[in-house]
Amino acid sequence: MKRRKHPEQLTWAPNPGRAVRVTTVGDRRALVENHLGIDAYGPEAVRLRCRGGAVCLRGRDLSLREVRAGALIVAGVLDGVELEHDSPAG
Amino acid sequence: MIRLRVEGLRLERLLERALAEGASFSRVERDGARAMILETGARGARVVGKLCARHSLRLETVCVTGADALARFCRRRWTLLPGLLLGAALLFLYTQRIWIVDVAILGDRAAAFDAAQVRAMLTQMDVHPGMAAADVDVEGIELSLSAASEEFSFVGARIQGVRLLVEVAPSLQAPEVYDLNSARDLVAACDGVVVSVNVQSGVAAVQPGDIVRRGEVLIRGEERASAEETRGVAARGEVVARAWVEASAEAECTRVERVYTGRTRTGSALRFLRWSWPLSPAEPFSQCEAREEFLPVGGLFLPLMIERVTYAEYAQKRVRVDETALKTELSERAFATAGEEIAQIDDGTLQVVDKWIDYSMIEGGRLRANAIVEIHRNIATTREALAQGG
Repeated sequence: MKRRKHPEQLTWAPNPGRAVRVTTVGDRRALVENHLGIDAYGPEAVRLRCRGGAVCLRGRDLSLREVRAGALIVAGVLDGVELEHDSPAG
Repeated sequence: MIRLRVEGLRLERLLERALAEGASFSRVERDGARAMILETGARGARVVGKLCARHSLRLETVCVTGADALARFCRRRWTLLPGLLLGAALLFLYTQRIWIVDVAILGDRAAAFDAAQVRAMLTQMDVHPGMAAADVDVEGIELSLSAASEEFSFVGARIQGVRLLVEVAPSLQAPEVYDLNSARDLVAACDGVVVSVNVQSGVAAVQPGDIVRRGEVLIRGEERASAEETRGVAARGEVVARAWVEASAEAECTRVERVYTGRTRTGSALRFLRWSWPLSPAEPFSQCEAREEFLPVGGLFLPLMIERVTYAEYAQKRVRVDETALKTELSERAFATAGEEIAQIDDGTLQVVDKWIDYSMIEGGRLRANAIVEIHRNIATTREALAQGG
């Protein structure tokens, strides 16, 4: 029987619902996929809308690279990534 | 890549709308609270430009680099490419033809040969500037020129770009040949006083100091076979003698000078190609100098012009020329003529020993200069060569 190289738990999770995906490389670059729009952009914070809320990346000297519809790269000195959830109705 | 600077509020909305319309950005940076720097391509720049115009946002193009700059350059100078193509096509057509035909004379006798003869032969073969290079038969030219004249020892033709070079070497003169056993004498080619006699074959008929006339025997073609018999041989040797070459030059001692009286007349006519209509005719003086002027009326596009002729009356007067200068000029001419005669008879052994000049007045008020050059030369020649004028 063939042995898998990686356990199933560590394989990359499927994303059929196209939820927002943030991939950082160190603290210098972050790839944000499946966002729904740019709410705010400044050198210290970038806020992007997504399903179920928003994602906010904070840091210093932030700039946007390779901005496409639905995906972009945030470059600069990243201090943190925050996920904001929409408050339930009612 | 096009770099834009946008000023306004809520620029994030501008970004969203631009993305929704298909734009993409390679870089977005904040340039203050109300400005943003965008780097995008041509399509993105168009989309952003439309959105800014629609929403009255201030847009500035900071710089254009890369392929977008090249595209803009080509769009502004759209005739550049067709012009380059046309120029390349014309250059290609130009290089397919021969525009220069050069004739080079090579060899030892190059100075004595005229290239005009070769050019005339080429013209007869229909070889001319402007013909297609593919129509030039180089081998045919070489064969035709070689066959057309026996004076060529070598003919070469080659094409160098737009130039056809034809090289021709005249043949050398055949050396003198003679039968050693057939009798012949050596005679004097000109009058002279014998300086030295060097006999290689035959018997000397003169000795140093003798005065000889043209045609006189210098070396007899005979040698003693036995005590009573002699046999004929081809005389060979060298007889150096003093000879003289004379040449003269003449000129008048006076010259005619023009003295202008100051009277002038001017006439004009309208000229078109070879037709002319007089505008203000004027008669020339009995002795006058005419000066013509052409004043264009139609410019470069119409060959219409006004021809103006000015007549200036003069009287002729004879004045005496400077005698010293005249003598100098005449002596130069006379010595030059003598030099040419000497060059014709020089066989490489001739030496100029002395030269002088005499002046004399001749009829008609003319001055004659007689140049005499004394030379030492080998005057021994065959009767056949003497008869041919050698």
